[in-house]
Amino acid sequence: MIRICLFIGLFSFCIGNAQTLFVASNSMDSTNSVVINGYANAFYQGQGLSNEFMNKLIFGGYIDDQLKDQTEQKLLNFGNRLAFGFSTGIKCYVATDRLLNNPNWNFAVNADYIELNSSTYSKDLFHIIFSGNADRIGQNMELGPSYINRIVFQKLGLNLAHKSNNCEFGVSFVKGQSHFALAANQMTLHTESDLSAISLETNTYMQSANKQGNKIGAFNGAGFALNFTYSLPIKVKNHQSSSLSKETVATKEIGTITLQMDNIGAVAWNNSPSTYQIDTTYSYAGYEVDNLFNIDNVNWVDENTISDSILPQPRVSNYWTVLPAVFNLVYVSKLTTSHPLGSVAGARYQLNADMKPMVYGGVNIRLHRKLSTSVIGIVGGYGTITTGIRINYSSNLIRAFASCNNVIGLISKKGYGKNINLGLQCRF
Amino acid sequence: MSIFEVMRKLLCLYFSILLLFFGCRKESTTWDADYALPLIHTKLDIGNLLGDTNLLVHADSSLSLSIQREIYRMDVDSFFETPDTTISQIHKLLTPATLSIGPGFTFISEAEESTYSIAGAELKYFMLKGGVLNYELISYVTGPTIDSIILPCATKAGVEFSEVLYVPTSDGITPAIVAGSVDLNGYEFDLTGSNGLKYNTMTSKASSTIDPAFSSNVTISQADSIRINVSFQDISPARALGYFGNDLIEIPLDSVAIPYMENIVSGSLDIDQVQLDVTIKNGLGVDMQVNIEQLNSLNTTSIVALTHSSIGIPINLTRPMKTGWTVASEIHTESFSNSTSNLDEFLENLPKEMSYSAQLQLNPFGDVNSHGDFFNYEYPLHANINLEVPLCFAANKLTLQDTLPIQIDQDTTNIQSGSIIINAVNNFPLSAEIQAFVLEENGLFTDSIATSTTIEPAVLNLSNEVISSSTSQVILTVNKDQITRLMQTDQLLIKVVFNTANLPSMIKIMDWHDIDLNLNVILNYQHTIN
Repeated sequence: MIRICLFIGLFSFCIGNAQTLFVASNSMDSTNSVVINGYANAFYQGQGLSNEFMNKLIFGGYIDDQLKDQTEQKLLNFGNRLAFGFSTGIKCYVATDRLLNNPNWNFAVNADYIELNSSTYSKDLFHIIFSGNADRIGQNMELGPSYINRIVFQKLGLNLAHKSNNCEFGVSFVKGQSHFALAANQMTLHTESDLSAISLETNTYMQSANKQGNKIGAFNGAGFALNFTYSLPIKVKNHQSSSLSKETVATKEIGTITLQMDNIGAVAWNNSPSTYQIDTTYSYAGYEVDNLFNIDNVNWVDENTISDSILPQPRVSNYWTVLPAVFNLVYVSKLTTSHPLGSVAGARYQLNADMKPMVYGGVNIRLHRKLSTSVIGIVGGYGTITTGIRINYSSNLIRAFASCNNVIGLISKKGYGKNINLGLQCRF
Repeated sequence: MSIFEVMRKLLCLYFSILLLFFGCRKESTTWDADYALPLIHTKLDIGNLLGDTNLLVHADSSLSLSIQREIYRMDVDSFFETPDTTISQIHKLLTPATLSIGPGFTFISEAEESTYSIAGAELKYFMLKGGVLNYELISYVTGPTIDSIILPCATKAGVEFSEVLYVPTSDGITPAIVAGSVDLNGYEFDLTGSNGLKYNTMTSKASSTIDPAFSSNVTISQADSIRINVSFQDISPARALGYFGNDLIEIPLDSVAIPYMENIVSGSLDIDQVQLDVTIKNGLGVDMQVNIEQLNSLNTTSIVALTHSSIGIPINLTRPMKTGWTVASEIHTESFSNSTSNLDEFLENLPKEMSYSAQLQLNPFGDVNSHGDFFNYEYPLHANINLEVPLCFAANKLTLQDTLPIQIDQDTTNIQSGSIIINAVNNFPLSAEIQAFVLEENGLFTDSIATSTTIEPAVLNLSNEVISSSTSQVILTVNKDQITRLMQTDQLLIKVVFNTANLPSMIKIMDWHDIDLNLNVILNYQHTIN
């Protein structure tokens, strides 16, 4: 974890702003010719899976029986969520007066790398992977409904940004690197009480598009993504009397509501992807011997035979998948010297990511002319209830932030998941 | 510093950090999980163990092991071996004068009788089912001839043997040679000569004619001889008639393997009523005496000779009768039982082989049948042993072992340990202790992957009859090293120690007895993510 924090810190320090629950302004003012935003985000989160467990799973170590038992006790019978992901990107705004023959528009180019692995799984699926079925002889193990989604893609886009309205939209070309999806609506494993057979009853749909491997250079699909951000300043009337006889009415901005939609699009996986539809009951009873003293010289346990009998032949045809689009709606109050305490609230949802809708709310605190912080409570997502914190630094040339959506998880082994977002905005 | 310079430096730093981050090796993630899998299922009755063809099912469902083996078959061909010599006949003009003869003139026409010596036999007739007559004609005649070899004694479907040869011209110094062979399959030979009173005698005719198509006369003298060489090869008689001699035929010491016994390595077996029959089926029409000199039970360490009143004593075999060439073979059986011999001891020696030797005396009293011996290959003489062992016995630590070929091509790196669980539902009135050994690289089975563990016998009543099955679970624990060797070996030695229930009482195996075996494994598998 130290390594990944170090990496994200250094990386985002170099590049810029980030995608986070706290949507920040990307606006340029008239003095800037170029603004570069960079961000980096890394997380893993799952209810029931403690950091002690996840640290060993991700960063190495031996997962002992005690840890497995403790973890399994925290899981729900069905619908446990687990996700881990990493995304990073850079966006460069360039000031111009001639775009669309309208001096109000700037343009920006962006490049992003996004990796998201998400899953919904049953307690029994966790058990068979980490403990096996030896202690469930004579019982059913409900391995489904379970879902796994993995998508890795890069995008390169062009954006139009309105100079004064904090409004921008863009379109990106998406290079699909890797995709795997498994939807096991039903998957029941039964081990006979005398161990004479194990049977698997399943209705599973599986897609895989990793023909060229899943390294960053793999080009397994192509698609598009749209993004849109609109910020609406919230203003209130401010009654001021300039003289005894006349009262002037001015407006005062107290905060901003921002709607952000990112990665609305799809990828066509078109490099000979495989699709499996498995709706069967498979029973394995071992090798049948009819003469103990005259056994043919055969391979008693042949993985290929077993897998061939379970897995049908894949259907090779191109398919589309919807990108894990992010929808963010957030309100952030404006902090001033006279009002150093404000509020923040929002909601977020991500498509096709085994995620529950997330809502959050908290306070903004102005600590210094250049420094502010936010503390929020979060409900939903991949966890249950977590606490988030963000620290902002802002100067004329640099804006930077660091935020975390799971503070307890970040600092404690007993927490569930880790999340860190770092960003930097450089103005030239 | 320009913005492009700044960006260039930032990107360089970025990629440097990426390399640093992903270049770091992390520790492997590992965990253990226990997986239970069925491995082998089998339901074995006694037929699966001993082979259905070796079992006799009696009316009361009891079983007997019946082992039949042919221990001797007489090679009759050897009786009628023709001498491996070539018979050479020279034909030439009878007159010393030199003749000038025209085309179409037959200048040689001779009939002859040849008597063969046939291994002491005096045959009047035989028919061949195989064999070849090879001939070679050597001519010094200075003109082309048409020659014929005729065997009036040999007919096939009523047609006598005749071979016509076209012999080219010789220059009188270098002979013209014509050679060939004739398949004798199906030919019948009358060996009684021209007067019908002889034996082993064949009649033949040879003739030589100047080719009628030749354009001029040929001058012939006694020097212009014709030599005919004849030999027989691979003669195989189908039928024969005559006197076959009074040879003494030795059947040298030989042995026959006893199935299943080779797998018994120790222990004792108390067997109930056993019967061993030596059956001689004789289709050879001769008077004969047989002397079974010895019959031994051979174990690795001990020999038990069968003692019986007929062992070592000549036994007269009745001469079979024939109608036409259909022979009513005579069957002579010498029976050995517990009461008339030491057969009990003979078999409880757990013989892996039975050895034997014997003598056969043909026509011990000479030609008393006036050359009336006969032979038809469809009715041979052969001897069988027939061992019938009722599966009613008492076994005390009777140990069988056998090797099993196995092939489990699996990567066992991640398997830490395991258990082989044998669930047995046993209907046999026998308990079984199982041990398994893996073939080592040195070719020896030294490492037992299983200590002695017992499958209990079925539940018996006071009459030692099975009234219900027993259920046993045998758990064999194996470590990583043993699993690795089990997966990598291609042979497994299985040793099973049998004990019958209620020793020393005997139990009876019935045709419905069986054992249901499930071999399952629980493997402790270490998952590793690098």
